[in-house]
Amino acid sequence: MTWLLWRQGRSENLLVAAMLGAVAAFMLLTGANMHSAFGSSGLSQCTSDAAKLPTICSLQVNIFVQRFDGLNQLGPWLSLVPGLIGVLLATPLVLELDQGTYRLAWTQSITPRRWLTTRLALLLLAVAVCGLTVIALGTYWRQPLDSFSGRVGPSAFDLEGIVPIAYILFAAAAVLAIGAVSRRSGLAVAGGFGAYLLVRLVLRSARDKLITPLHTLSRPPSGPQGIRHSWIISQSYTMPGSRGNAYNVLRSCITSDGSLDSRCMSHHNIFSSWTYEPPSRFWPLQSIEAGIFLVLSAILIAVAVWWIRHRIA
Amino acid sequence: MTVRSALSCEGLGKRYGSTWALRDCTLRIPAGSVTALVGPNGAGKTTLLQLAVGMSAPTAGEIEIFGWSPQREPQMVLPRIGFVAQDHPLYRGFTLADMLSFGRRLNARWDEKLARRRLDSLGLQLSQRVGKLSGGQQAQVALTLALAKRPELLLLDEPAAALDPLARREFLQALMEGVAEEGVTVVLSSHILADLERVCDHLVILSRAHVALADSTEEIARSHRLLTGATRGVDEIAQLHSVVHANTTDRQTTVLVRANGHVYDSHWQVSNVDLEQIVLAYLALDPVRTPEQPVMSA
Repeated sequence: MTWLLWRQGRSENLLVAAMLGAVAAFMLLTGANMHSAFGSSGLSQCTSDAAKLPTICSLQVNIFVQRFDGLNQLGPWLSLVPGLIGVLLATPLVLELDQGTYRLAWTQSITPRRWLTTRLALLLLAVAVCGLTVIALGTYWRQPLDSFSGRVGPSAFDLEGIVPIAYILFAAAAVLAIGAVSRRSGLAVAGGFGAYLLVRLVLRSARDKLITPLHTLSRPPSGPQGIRHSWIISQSYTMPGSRGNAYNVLRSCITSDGSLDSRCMSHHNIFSSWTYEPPSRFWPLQSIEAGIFLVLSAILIAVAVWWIRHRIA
Repeated sequence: MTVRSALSCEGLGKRYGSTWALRDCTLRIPAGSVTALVGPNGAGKTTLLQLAVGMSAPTAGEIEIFGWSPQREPQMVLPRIGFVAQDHPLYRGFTLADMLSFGRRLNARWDEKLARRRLDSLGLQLSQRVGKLSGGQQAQVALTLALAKRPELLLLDEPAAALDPLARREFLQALMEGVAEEGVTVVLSSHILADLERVCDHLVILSRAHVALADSTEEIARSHRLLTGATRGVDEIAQLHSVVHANTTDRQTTVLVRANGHVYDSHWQVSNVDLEQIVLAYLALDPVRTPEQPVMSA
């Protein structure tokens, strides 16, 4: 049975392996580069004791971040990877339904029930293995960048923790459900990947509503206590207790070199207003988002199983 | 003495949505027989075969294969059956070696030697890819897989429908050779009787989801008579024999009856009728019991 699953899904399995291999090669190469640049620049000291050498550190941080900004911007593209893996892992089962070979498989000496449970069990195992691989690679790769910006922000959040497993599972479950109902593999692949993108985008834009963000004021130029490694959702200027527009007043505080004069801001009682999720929210946010994807996946898999057992059978 | 039945069903029915694909099906297929399951497309042949292999569950009634329920005891039924589904599905990307590996790994009773010998006699190489074979060859490979399971009951759903006449004849020949020594029970479905007439010894006619006739071909041929006479009513004859089909023209009346014993009637000229004509008459018939008719209860 295991042999059949391997042989029948050989192309898809090899594609998944190739894709994970490519991602691994890319992350290990650029990651090694980042790690060595991070180590040799002495930045490790800055992050561990940021208060001590603020000017030198901020300069070095700027250089580092600018150098590797291209990689940091890859986040949205890397979000496609779990979706593609999930789709590919679920495709062989849908192909059995599409091409009618399930009628051959179900009339060998193993029961259809065992065929289905073995397939699902191995699919879940593959999802877990691929998910853990993505997490391990992503966490290693992001480590130098995360040491400045933390892991709650979107570019790190999607590659670390536990959510990648849930993403892969959801993509696979969507393909299974559409494939079981329609018995058309093309539709299942396109629809499943579309559903994955849609739900990812919706949840990503709604992530700051999963747990109400913190809201704090601080006197510029310094940020509030505990802002370090936070996911800063928005930052603006405000004049508490005054009806005037902070930005009109702010114009008068712009110095000749274009920066803001903090004494002027303090004089006019201008504060920075921060909306953010602190680093301690990383695991709660991960759990909620992974939970949503897991529940959706469970529903889709239940639909697929019911359909295969009662409608196709 | 009763012969062991390979397949038996009692009041079997399957409904999809609001339509009955099969209804009130009660029949017994004796072990060792070769049964043709004949009926037009949509008559319920595929439904009956899928119920028999446990691929679907009945809405009403019971079906048993050698005394076991394909739905509740699939582990008893599946090793004993060989099934070639409609369009003989195979994994198109597999080589023939892969297909044999598939059969070997999924069946404890797998006969590798038989499978290899059969492929060899078809002139096929193990390295050939299934998708590259002709329709006739694919049907033969599907049959090989089913036979190498060493089944006690072999079920084939429209095995010859997609084949050209030559491939069809070769297929049926291979089938009969394959089951000759073993005493395997065979059930083949078809919407035409033509080729099956030579190979089958039992016949089940399905029409509009109902069993119209089920018996051995010998008994069917013996009991059916074609009566020809001057134009007249058939009421009188219908009291003694069951009228399958009556046709009256200005000049004469012809009646196909399932005779209750011998037909002694000087009004009619009695003649034998061949199987194909009988099948056609039954297929033209409305179901004997319409779905609305209540089942009698004690």
